[in-house]
Amino acid sequence: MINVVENLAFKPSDNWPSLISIDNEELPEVPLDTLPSWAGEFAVALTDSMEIPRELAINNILACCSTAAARTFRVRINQHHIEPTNLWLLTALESGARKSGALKAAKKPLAEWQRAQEEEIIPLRDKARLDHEFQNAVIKKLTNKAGSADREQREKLKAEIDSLVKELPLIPTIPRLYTDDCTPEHLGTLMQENNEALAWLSSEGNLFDILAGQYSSGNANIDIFLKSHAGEDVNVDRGSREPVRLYEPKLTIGLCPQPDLLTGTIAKNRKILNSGLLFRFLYFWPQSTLGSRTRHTRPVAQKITDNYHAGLIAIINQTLTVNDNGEPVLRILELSPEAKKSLHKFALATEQLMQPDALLSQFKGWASKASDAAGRVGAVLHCIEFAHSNPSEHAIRDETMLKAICFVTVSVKHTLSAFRVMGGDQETNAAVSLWDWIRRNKQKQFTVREAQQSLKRRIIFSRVKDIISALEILTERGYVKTIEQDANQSGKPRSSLILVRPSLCVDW
Amino acid sequence: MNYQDQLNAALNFGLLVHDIKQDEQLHRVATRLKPKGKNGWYVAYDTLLIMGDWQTGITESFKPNGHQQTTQDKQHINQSRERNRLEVEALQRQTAIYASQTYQNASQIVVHPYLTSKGLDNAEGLKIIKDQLLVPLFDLVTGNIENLQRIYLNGEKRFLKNGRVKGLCCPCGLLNMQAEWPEQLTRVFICEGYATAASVYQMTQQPVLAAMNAGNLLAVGKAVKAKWPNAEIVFAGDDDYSTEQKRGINPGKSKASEAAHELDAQVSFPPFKLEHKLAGLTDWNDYWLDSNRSAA
Repeated sequence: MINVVENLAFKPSDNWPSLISIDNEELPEVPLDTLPSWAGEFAVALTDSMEIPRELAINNILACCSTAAARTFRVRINQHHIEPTNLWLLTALESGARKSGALKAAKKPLAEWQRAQEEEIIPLRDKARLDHEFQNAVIKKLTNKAGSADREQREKLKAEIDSLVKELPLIPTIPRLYTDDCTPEHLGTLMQENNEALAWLSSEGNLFDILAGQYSSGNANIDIFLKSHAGEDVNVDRGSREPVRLYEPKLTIGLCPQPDLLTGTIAKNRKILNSGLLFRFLYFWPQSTLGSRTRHTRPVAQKITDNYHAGLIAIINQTLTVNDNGEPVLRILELSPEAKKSLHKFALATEQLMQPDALLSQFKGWASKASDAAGRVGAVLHCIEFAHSNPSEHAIRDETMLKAICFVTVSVKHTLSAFRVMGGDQETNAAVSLWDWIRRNKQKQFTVREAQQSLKRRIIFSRVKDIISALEILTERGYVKTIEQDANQSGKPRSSLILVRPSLCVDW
Repeated sequence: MNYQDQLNAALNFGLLVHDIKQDEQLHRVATRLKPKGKNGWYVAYDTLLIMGDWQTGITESFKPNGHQQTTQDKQHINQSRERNRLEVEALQRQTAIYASQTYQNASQIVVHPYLTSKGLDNAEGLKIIKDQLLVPLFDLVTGNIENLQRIYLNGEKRFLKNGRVKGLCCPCGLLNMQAEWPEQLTRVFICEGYATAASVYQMTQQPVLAAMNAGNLLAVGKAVKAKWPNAEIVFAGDDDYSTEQKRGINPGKSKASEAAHELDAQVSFPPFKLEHKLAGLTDWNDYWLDSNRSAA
């Protein structure tokens, strides 16, 4: 051991450029203090307890809070522009990353609220149904009688029937906060029954299978999703079912699918890609913790869980206000002048990023919604802060809005990565595959020909130039170097030699 | 709008900030690599953002796309930099005096939990004051102490505020640490932390310099070249495997290799097996301790 430091000393080879990771482009992390008070504490505790990426905890909690807030609150972005507070969040993570567990923990208060409502409403609903049926039977009997009655008698019966119809008891529906599997058609009905607000919370990406037309021979109705993001009215009139009328639908979406969904179902479905639906999501593609977990976890402290439960329920229990006509309407959250200024600055900055050749020039559809998304996130954070009082009595603070802006800003790079994959950047995908081959085969150096011979059965590497373009990306990112070799004795050119960065193959 | 671009750039760089203060002052902030620390920094002007991460040693400047700096802008930035530089130098001079006096007045070490945890019985040149271990940082050329690294009971390490670090180091195996360096050295090892330096000394019995962090290896290497032009340098680097897994870069390895390449020197990394790396072993002190345990 004495001379081991000296014995292992060596001169490093030629200087290599900085290494830029290819597996998952370096993506910024959402600051851990994004969520305020009880939601923030729960996010930190859940991240530690389950050893999951913080984005998974934060996004699930934020989606649940948005589910609750969107039922009651809208936010005034400026004098002429009011946004709903429903968010669409997508967190892509590989299998085994505790996506289901994290979502289950975050939505537990929502599930318990639904269950409590069910227990309360079911007996009332059953009684109302019975009364309804009974009264319907009476109406039917009177209608039959009216058919054979004389004119005077008929008028009398008609008045009686009218009055009975007016007295028909309303059958209460069981309030729902969220679903995780539903056809687009039934989604409209569910929203109609639930004050036009609902969430789709799922640790899977089945929503995209449905949108790809799994239950409708490839022709799913995407419109209701698009309109329910913006709060645009929905009118469905189909002969076979009851019409659906939604005046300001608000659909929250919180999904945590596997990244394969982005490269599979979505990337292959032109209808989804071209619909504009994907531009409505805030994407997060966090680094997986798999392989670096300590497995020494401890449960979230009961007090933190209780506070989270109480906070979320307090948002659900916020009540609508009434307008001049006495009709219940959503409450409007106002921005403080400073928060308005910050949001305006952010809107101008994203505008700038949409200019030709700027970062978001190819993603204007997403970028144009980014500042409104920040406004929505800010509103949800504000509802968390003032859950136990009345959020609409306080203006949204600048500090809150800056956190929301920061959250959306972090999402920019994640979103670009997601779009790159969904849009099918084949060359980068090929480079990832080639690096995977190099790593698995522990190739410290190899020739282009050797790589091609070994990989030619794979369609993405069927031609030498496919290998070369993947190698160019790996070279740019500092993974490999190409050494051109002199021709051999017979004058035939030798295949280029590829050297793998020594620091990456120390253990090979 | 420029503000938002700067915020985006800072977040993309890995600084954990909610806000950018365009006040031309240095701000220390947390980074994605170390969310609980303050290893990141930035200085923001109206049209320029300069930022860096002391842990990785990476520095980057950012100006918005398409923005052309006017001569006035440049003049303003240069004046501001010069002003800051003079202020920083004045503060560093004051800190150097304070460091030297504090070190003189401190007591000799008997025992300290940090040294015990690192398996070090004797700590050449280190002193102690109020439970804090003092690691003196020397300027090799002048032989003066210019800063101190304080190591607390919980292992936390801090330099004196406003003190210089670049190019300073703490020697191991060079007796008479105060200003009496040997005229000639044939070989010198340079590594990051003090405990690593002490362990490398135990293994090689040759002079070792602790540069305190990966970003300072090259600067210390250059100071060695200035002081002992014929000395052969070996950078005994860290292997930051877990950082590499998280971020795709290995600051310990890459900084040591870059420094060695620039100074035509050698590098040497601890030969850890994968299970050691997964267990969080990164430097030559970890290797030395692990080998001693195995031997026992």
